[in-house]
Amino acid sequence: MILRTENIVKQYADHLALDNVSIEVPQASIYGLLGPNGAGKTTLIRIITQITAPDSGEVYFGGRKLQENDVYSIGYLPEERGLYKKMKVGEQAMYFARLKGLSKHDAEKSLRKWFEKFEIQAWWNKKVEELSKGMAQKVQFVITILHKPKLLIFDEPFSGFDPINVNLLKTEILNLQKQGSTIIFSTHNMASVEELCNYITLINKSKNILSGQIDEIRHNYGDNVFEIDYRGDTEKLKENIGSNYQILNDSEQKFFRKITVKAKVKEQQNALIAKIMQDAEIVNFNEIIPSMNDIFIKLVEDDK
Amino acid sequence: MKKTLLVIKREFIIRVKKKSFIIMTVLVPLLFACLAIVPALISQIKSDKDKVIVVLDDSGIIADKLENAGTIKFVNDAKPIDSLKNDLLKNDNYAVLHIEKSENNEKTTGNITIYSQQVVGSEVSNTVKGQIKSVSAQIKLKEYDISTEQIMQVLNPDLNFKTIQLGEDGKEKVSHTEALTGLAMICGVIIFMIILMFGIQIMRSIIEEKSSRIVEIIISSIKPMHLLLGKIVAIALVVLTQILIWIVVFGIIILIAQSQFSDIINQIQDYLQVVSFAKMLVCFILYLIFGYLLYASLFAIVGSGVDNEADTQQLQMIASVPLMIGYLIMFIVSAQPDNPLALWGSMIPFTSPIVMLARIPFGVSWFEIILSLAILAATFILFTWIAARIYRIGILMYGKKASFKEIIKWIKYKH
Repeated sequence: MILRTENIVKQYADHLALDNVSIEVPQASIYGLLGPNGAGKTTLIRIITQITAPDSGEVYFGGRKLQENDVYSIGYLPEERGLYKKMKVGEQAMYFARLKGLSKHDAEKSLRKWFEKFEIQAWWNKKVEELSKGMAQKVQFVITILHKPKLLIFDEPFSGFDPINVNLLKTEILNLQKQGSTIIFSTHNMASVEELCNYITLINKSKNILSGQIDEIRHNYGDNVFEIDYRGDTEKLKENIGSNYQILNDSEQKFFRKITVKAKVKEQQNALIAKIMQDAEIVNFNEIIPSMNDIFIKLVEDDK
Repeated sequence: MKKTLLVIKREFIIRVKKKSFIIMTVLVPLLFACLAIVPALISQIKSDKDKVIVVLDDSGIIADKLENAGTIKFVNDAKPIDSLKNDLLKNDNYAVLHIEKSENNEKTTGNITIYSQQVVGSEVSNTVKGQIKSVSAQIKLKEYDISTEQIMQVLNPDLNFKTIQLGEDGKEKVSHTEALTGLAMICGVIIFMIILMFGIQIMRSIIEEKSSRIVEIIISSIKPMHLLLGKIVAIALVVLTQILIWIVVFGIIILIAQSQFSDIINQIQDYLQVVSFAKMLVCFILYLIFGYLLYASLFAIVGSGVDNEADTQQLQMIASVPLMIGYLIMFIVSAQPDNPLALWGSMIPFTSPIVMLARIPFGVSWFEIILSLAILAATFILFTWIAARIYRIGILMYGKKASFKEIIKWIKYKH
């Protein structure tokens, strides 16, 4: 565990922003922090980055209590982000790098490397107000990761980027993970959560309502619905699988038939396969796993 | 500490490199130089050419008594007025002055007319009018049989007027009321302008970071308190730099054009006789720094409460009203240094930097000064603390203008 929060409570004047939130972020994982708007994600991030302090509860970083110096080991790209408009890009990047504790020499070396990698060397002497929004965000991304932090926190990192740059960013995020960085990733884009994250936490109404490994969660939230492509007698097949299964759909395809069934009682998948095999040939057998999008909507709706 | 230094460096360099800073730094001494040098240049230009005024005096009582003044030369001519006017069109003379005879009184003049091809400048018309007036007056006085000297004695009695300030040891000291008032005003105005100008800069700088959404990136690396401190110190350094540049440049200008500034130099020497220069300087610096710090925290509170400049008007007013009041009290001080308002104004921390400084030239005991400074220091420490607490919350609040109630609540939040 690189990061652990324990029963974090944060009360603002008129509402409880976080209510006993505990999360555990494993080393070198990509950790999705999900939740509807206003659920408390940003507050949790601000507590981890020491922008604000919890009313009660503890944050542990690398096995011990979070300390002031840990800001050097954390990189944070906020959702609401900007740069000094009148300042030159290079000068500004240097300033932020040095605030993160890099020496002048290291900061410049590292910045040149990243600017080259992102093909933005030509912007070094431009003022930020001359850049487009996407360009400025590229610079912000570089600034965030420059000091090689152990923990990176990205809040909606892809908003404002074109698909090519989104891919560039995803590649870099995965690279950072390979090099051992841990990444906390807050977003509403569930497709990118499924694509990138290993673990997630879903925060709703200030509470952690779901935490765990993403594959496990998706399986746990499966409705025991199976989709089978087969060749054979439909009536016999229905008879064989018996009354434990509800037939949701059955249709003729070009070379086979497709049937969708829902188990009323949970049963081993092999048992179902065995029943079908008696009188039909299986072409394809699939468990329908819900998307993160479905799980998100279901849980948040149910919580109302 | 290292990070605060980084912030100070950035905030300082960015301001000193700004066009407005460079323009102000160059323009103010330049304007000052112009004010001093241009009149000198003008006075040299005008001595080039004589302005000849041809006088036709039908009354016969004025013309002989007109005296040449500077470039203005009077020439009598008895030709008829029409031919004089014609001549004027052909020659280089400046004007024709026609003094008509009075219909009923030999000893006064009738209509007086100046003909010229150009617009007659105020210098010429004033000289001509003035001379004719005084000649006429003298003629009149003679009629009443009073000598000019007698009249002058009545109008300008030779009084020897002095104000003496009695010291505690009974020592008499000549007090130059005008010099004191001048010094009081200059100090008050300088403090007022600096505090207001740079207080507003603090506010702008906070709003800029808020509205450009940069602040969250910064404060994930540095504590808000250190960021605010860096800003306040950096802007104070900018003020000092600018003042220092001005002092040096003014010093050079005054040295170069010493003759032009003899009045000012004399006046400064006058001031130095009356007031202890060291006392004044120490107080000026202390009140400037403490007052700036107090108002810097007030303007920081305003900047934390809003997220764009259009919303600042109302809150900015509240922050600057006490300063304005101090400015007004300063005028009372210079007219009535012992007015109770002056005493109160120099103790209340929001007005004391201006009012006390205006009072010092008139004599204030060290006890009062130290008391007033102590109150001011305690207040700025309190307000810096409050501002820091409001700032750390306010910079993360976007979207709406904070109400007073909310701002008060922010002070109580735990960090």
